[in-house]
Amino acid sequence: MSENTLEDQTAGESETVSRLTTKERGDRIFAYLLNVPSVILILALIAYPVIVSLWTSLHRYNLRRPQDYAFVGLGNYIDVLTSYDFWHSLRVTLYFGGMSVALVIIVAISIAVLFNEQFRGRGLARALLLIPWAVPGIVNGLMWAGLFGEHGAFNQMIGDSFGLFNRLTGADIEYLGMASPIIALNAAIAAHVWRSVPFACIIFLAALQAIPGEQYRAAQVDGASAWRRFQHITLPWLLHPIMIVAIIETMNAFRGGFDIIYALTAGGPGDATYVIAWQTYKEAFGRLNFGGSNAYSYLITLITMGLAIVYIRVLYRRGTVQG
Amino acid sequence: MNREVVKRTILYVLVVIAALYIVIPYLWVVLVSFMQEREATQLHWIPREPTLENYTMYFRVYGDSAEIGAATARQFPRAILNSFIIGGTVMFINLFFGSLAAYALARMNFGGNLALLLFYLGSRSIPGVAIMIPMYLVMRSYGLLDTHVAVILAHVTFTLPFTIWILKGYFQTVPLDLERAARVDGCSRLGALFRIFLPVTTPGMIAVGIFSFISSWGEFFFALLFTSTIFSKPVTVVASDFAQELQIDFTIIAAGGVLVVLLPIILAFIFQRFIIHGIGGAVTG
Repeated sequence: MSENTLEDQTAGESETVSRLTTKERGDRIFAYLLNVPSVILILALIAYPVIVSLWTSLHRYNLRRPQDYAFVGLGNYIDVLTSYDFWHSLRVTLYFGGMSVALVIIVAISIAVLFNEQFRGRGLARALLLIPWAVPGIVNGLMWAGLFGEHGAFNQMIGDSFGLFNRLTGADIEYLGMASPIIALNAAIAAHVWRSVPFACIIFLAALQAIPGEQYRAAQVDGASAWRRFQHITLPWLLHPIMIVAIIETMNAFRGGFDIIYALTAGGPGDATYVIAWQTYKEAFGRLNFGGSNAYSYLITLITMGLAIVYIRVLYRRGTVQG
Repeated sequence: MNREVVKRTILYVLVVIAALYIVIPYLWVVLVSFMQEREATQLHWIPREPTLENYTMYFRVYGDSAEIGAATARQFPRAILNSFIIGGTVMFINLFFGSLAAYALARMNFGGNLALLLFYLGSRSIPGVAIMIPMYLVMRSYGLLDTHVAVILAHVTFTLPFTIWILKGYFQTVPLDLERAARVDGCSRLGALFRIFLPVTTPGMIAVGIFSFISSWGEFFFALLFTSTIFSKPVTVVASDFAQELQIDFTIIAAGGVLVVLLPIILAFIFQRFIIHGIGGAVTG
């Protein structure tokens, strides 16, 4: 009798265990099924092209001579890495990207801290942030081409201030507008930063609202200045969002320069604004050198991935320190 | 007391400067779009004799005006429709596939969570230029070039990972008890997802929906590669033709710029609360 119950019990137990695992397995399969459509889309449209791109980058393949298709190993990479074009566009991109990321973070934090204060019209001020964000990149490029064009508002203002500077100091600096490489490149950065600030700002605003108010009140009681409060309370709380913005903006600077360059400078004057995305596009659809442009593509991917890994490591190290 | 007044004044001055920085570039375009060509060449801001002339050009669809830019302007209504179709479909695909994937990532511990999340984030880190040629060849071999489908697929690839990421963060803020109660009442997992879970997450869904729509509306690079005629060209590609016409008056471009941005700005303003909370909260949370 007693043996029987024990058997029953174990049988019952093992049954619940196996039933649980079947249910668990069912859940597991269900979870994967939910991800199947997204994974298929991304595999087909990103992973597959990435592999094809690698394969093409190892071949000589120019659309002008499509029958001259041959495996050249790392030949395209050697060509690219020994070319002036690559290093020039990399320099331009690093300047464009570095300036953009730094300016976006500084401007966005400043505006977020400001818009986090109590003042009349705060809701409206925050809503205004959505304007630059809603402007498509290509329209943004056309817009800044207008602003820096011959009759553009910014062009005239900068021209006038150059004139004033010359008159005051007796210097003789000629203002060339967009014909000057430095002005053209920095105008492109100004355009890119203007459009990128709102997104970063929204992230920083959310982060600022998560900071407990007691910390500020305690600091105020201790007589800490506004700057010290920012340095010792605000900034540490913002480190995590800053890294997120830095990652997103670095990616955007490497890929997103394209729209603005297309509409604002077309790479000019000369090759002053040849960011690497523009250089790759020109290599593919200007010179029709598909092998070489795929080598460019791979180098860009490696650089952005490398930067992302660096950021993520820094992010997680900070994360553990903060606990 | 006096100190407080000074502080407030400084605050308001800084707020005005920030607000001007945000609106001035676009405000200039809006103002120029109402100016006569002659007036736009002088540095001043308020149109003296406001005119709608620059806009009428965009809606004379069957006109044969030889004015510079008229050919491009005439394509705008159709291009805006194309953008709307593409953006709407992209939004729908994002919401449907994105919420399924995000639900699994947020709610179920199935062993592959981290790997899948990294897969999605990793796919987002590949720049468009890096995959443009193979993607172009894929589209060509399936006969999808110059169709809405090609642009929609391209836009889904870069919006979907972001949607999943944001929704996963948002879903995790919804209390578990709700679904537990539904499951106890005999609801299936899928039933609980569609009938109980998704309705309470509407704000997050609106945020990512609008976000993917506006991202698609503004995308230019893939749209430029995959479209060649007005049957599929979205409005960003048509507007980019202005960049090639050197003699065109900026007043006309300005009117076009206002037309392109109108719909995204209206959507952004209507749903601003959802966007700011949805994106801000999920990214930092």
